[in-house]
Amino acid sequence: MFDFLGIPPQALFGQLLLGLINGSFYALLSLGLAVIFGMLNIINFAHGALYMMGAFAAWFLLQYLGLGYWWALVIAPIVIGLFGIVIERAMLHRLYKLDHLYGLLLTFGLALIIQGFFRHQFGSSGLPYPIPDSLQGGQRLTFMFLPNYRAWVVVFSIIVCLATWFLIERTKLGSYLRAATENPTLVRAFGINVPRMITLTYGAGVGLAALAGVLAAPIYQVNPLMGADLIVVVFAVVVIGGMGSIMGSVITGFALGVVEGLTKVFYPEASNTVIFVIMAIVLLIKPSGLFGRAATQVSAVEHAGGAATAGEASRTATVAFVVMAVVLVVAPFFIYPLFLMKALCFALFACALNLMLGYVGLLSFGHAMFLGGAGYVSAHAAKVWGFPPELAIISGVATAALIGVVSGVIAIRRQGIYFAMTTLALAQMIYFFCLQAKFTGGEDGIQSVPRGVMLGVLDLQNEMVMYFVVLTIFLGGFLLIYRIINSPFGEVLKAIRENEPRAISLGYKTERYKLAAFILSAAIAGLAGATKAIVFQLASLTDVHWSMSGEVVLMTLVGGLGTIFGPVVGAFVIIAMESYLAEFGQWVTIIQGFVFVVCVLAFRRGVIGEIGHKLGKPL
Amino acid sequence: MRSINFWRSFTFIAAIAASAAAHAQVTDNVIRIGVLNDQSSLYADLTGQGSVVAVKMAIEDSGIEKRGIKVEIVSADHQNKADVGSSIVRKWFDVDKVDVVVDVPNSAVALAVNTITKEKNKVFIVSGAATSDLTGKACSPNTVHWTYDTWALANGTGKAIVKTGGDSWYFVTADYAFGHALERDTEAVVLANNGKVLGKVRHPLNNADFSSFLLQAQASKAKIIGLANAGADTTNAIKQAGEFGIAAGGQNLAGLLVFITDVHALGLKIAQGLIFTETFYWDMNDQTRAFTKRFAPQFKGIHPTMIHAGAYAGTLHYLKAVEALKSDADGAAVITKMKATPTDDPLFGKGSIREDGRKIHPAYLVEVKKPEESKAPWDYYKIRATIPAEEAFRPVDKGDCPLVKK
Repeated sequence: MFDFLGIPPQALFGQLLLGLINGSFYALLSLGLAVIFGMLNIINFAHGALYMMGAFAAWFLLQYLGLGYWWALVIAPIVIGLFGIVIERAMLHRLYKLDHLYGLLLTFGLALIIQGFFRHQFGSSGLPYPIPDSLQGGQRLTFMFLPNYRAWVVVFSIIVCLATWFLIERTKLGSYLRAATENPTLVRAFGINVPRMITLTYGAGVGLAALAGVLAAPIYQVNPLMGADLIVVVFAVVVIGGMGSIMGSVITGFALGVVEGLTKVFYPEASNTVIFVIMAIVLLIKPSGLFGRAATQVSAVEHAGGAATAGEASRTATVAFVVMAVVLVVAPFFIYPLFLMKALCFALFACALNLMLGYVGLLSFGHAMFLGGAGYVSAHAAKVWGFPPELAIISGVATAALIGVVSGVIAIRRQGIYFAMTTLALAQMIYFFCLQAKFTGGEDGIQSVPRGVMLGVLDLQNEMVMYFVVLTIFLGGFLLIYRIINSPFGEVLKAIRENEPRAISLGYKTERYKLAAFILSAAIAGLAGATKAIVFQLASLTDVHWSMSGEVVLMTLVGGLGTIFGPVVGAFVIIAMESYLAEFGQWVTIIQGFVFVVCVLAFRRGVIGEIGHKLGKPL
Repeated sequence: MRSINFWRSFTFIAAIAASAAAHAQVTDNVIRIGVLNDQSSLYADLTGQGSVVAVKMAIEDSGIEKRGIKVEIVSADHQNKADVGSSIVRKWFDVDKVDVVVDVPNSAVALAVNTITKEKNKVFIVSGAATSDLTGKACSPNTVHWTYDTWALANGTGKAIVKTGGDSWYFVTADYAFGHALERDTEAVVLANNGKVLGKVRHPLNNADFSSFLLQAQASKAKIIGLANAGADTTNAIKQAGEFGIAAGGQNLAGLLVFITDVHALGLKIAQGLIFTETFYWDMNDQTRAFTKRFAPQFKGIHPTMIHAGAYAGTLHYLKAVEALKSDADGAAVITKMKATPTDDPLFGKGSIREDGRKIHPAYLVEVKKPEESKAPWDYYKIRATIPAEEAFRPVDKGDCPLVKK
C-alpha cells in the first residue's frame, strides 16, 4: 500500500469518482450554456434559475400528478424548454445584435424574478424529493460505497453530453446550426428558417438545464436558491473550456469536477475557489479557453455620447454639474443623510466602473475587490491601528490601487468577455482571502469602526459633518473622473474604445493607457469603499462578493453607460430601491429583477442617456 | 415618454423626503417595534414574516392597547447584508422613531445592530442571531439575547450525546466564524466529557455537494458526525448522508443548528433519528399548542420555530417593562427593568434575564421521530432530555462580558 501525500489510495479513488459525479452536473449545465452562447451569442445568466425550475418541475409532477422520476426526466425538460422558448421569443431575440452585456443583464434580471417568485410560493427551506425506488441503495466497491443513484447520474449525463455533441457536430441539422451562427444571412438565403432554429436552440439549451435540475432533485434539497451560486461556477467552466466549444465545456466540466474533488481532500476550504484560480491561469495563458476558437469581439454597447461640439458639451456638463452640486448640498436637509451618504459612495463606485466600461469599453466584473478590499483595510486601520479617518481612507485607496496594479497587469491584455471573466476570477480570489484572513473577522466583518475626527477638527460623529465630508470626497472623485475623460489621455481612451487597432497604428501604446485607466478606476472605487466603511462603521463580505460587482454594473446601466452623470443617477435609483423597498420584504428582489429587464428591453441608454438623447446633448 | 422615467424617480425621491419629514413630527406616544430579518433568502422561513406575526400576537396578548398605549410594527428585509441592515436600523431610530428592534438573524447584521442600538440608547431583543458574542465580548446594556446561542446548542447536543455513548466525533464544519464557533464550543464539551475528536473538515459556505466530506467522515470511523453548519448546508449534508449509508454503517449524525422548518423540508424519512437542541417545541404543552394554532394560519401553515417563539416572548416581556416604567424613552432603563423583572410567558415559562443580557430558560434535546411514530403533520420531535436553565447557557462569568462585575 502506498500513500499519496498522506491520503490513502482508497480515499483518493473515492474522491476522484465523486469528483467525476459532480463534474457531470457541471458538464450538463455548461453544455447548455455553451450551446446557447455558441448559437445565440447570449450569456444566459438565468441558467441557474432554469436548473432550479427543472428540479421544481420534478417535484410538481410527483406531488400533484403522481408522476415519478422517470416521467419527470422526460416531461420537465420539455415544459421548461417551452418556457425558455417563450422567454426567447418575448425578450431575448431583441438583443442578438447588441453586446453580450445586455443579454447577461436581462437574463440576470429574469433569474432574480424567477427565484423570487419560487421563494415566495414555496419558502426558502426547500422541499424533499426521494431517490426513485429502482435506484435506491448502492454498491460496496473496494474503496468506497457508491450509491446507485450517483452511478446513474454519471452514466446518464455522459450519454446526454455525447448525444448533444454528436447532434451539433456530426448531423445535418447541426451543420445548419453552426452555419447559421457563422453567417445567418447566407443560411437564410438557402431557405432555412434561422430565427426558428435559434429559438429551438435556446429551448434545447434550457431543456438541458432543466434536465440537470431533475437529476439533482434527489441529491440536493429542491430549493428556490439552489441555482443562484452555481451559475458563476458553471460560467467559469464554459470560459475555461472555450466559449462556444461544445466538447470543450463537456470535458472541462468533468475535469473541473475532479479537480474540485481533489481540492476537497487537500484543502477543502478552497474547493469553491479553485475553479476561479484555474480560470485565471487559463485565461492568462490561452485566452480563448482550452478548446476555444479565437474569439472575435463585436462591441455594440450603446454609448449615449452624441455628436455635440466640445464647447457645447462642456457647457451642458458645467450646468448639470452645478445643478447636481446644489441639489446635493441642499438634499440632507430634506432627505435622511445616511441614505444620501450611502448613495454617494455607490455613485462614486459606479463612476469608477464607468470610467472603464463607458470610456475604455472594458467590462470589469470584479470591481467589488477594490470596493471591499479598500473597505477592509481602512476599517482595520481606523479600528485597530487607530488611524485618523483621512489616513484610514488613504490606506484603503492605496490598497485598492495596489490590487488594481496587480490585477490590471494580469487582465488588461484580455478583451470583452474574457476581460470580465479574468477580473471576476481575481475578485473571487480576493473574496476567498477576505473570508480566510484573520483580520477581516470572517462573515461577521469588522464591526464598530470609529468614525473619528478628520484632520483633527471635523468630528465625524455628527451626521451633517460626515455628510459634507462624503460629499466633498464624492465631488472630488467625480471631478477627477471628469478631468480624466476630457484630458488628452481620456481622448486616447475613447479612441481605443472605438477602434483599438487604429489607435495602435497611430503609435499609442494602448495597453499602457488601458492599464493606467484601470488603476485609476481601481483607486477611485477604493476611495468609495474606504469612505463607505467609515460612514457605516463596518466592513463586511457583502462588499467583496461577486454580486456586488454585478450590482455596480446595473447601476451604471440604469443610469446610462458612458455618460458622466448616468452612474450617479443609477446609483441613487438602485440604492433607493434597496433601502426603501426593504419594507416590501420579500418582493425586493422581484422588483429589482423587473427593473433590470425593463431597462434592458425598453431604455438601454439609461436614465441620463435617454434624457441626453432627447435633448440632443451628451450629459 | 423617456424623460418620464427620470421624473418618476425624482418624484419618488421627493415623496420619500416628504414622508420622512412627516414621520419626524409624530410625537412619541407610540411604542414602535421594528422587526428586522431575512425575508427573501435562506432564513426567510425560520424568521421572516413569521417573526412579524409573532410580534403582532405578543402585542395582542399583552393587552397593552386596550389600556390606551398605541403600538406599531414596522418590518424590513436586511437581505443578509450588514450595511443594508445597519442603514435600515439607523433610519428607524433617527427618522421613524422606532424604539425597539426585534429578531435579526445573521450574526454579522445582529452585531452591527447591537452597536447602533447602544449608540442611540434604544432596545435590541435578539431572537434570530446565534453568536454568543452578543452576551460575551460584544455585550451591551441595550441588548437582550432571548432564544438561543452557539454555546447553548453546542453544550446541549454535545454533552447529551457523549453521555449516551457517542464518544468519538468527526466535525463537518462550515468554514466561517459561525461554523468555527459551533465546532469550537462542541469540541470543548466533547473533550470535557471524556470524548474524542477524531478529525474535522471545513467546507465552504453554500456547498451543494457533501459526498466528499461524508466520505472522509466515514473513513474516520467516528461514532458521531457533527454538522457545524446551518440552513441548506445542513439539510443537504443530512440528505446525502442517507444516500451514502452513513447510518447503515453505524455512524450517527448530530445537527448543531437545526430548526423544525429544516426537518419539515427534509421529511421524516430522511431526518429520522437526528438529535439536536432546541429551546422551544410547539407541541410541548397546551399553551404552546394554542399559540401554534393561532400562529400557523397566519404564516403559510408553517409551525413556529424557536426564533418565532423568542420574538413573541421577548416582545411580551419588553411591553411589560415599558408599561411598568410608563416610558420607552431610555433604552438602557427599559433593559434594566426587563432584567429586574422575572420573565413569565406561555412559550418559555418562567425564567430570567442575566446581567450580561442572556435570557435563560431550559433547553431541550430532541430526536426526530420515525415516520411511523408521527401522528399528525408537524409531529416531529421526541423530547429526549431537558437541560435546566442554569446549565443550558454559558456561565455568566465565562463570557468576558464587560457588564459582568468580577
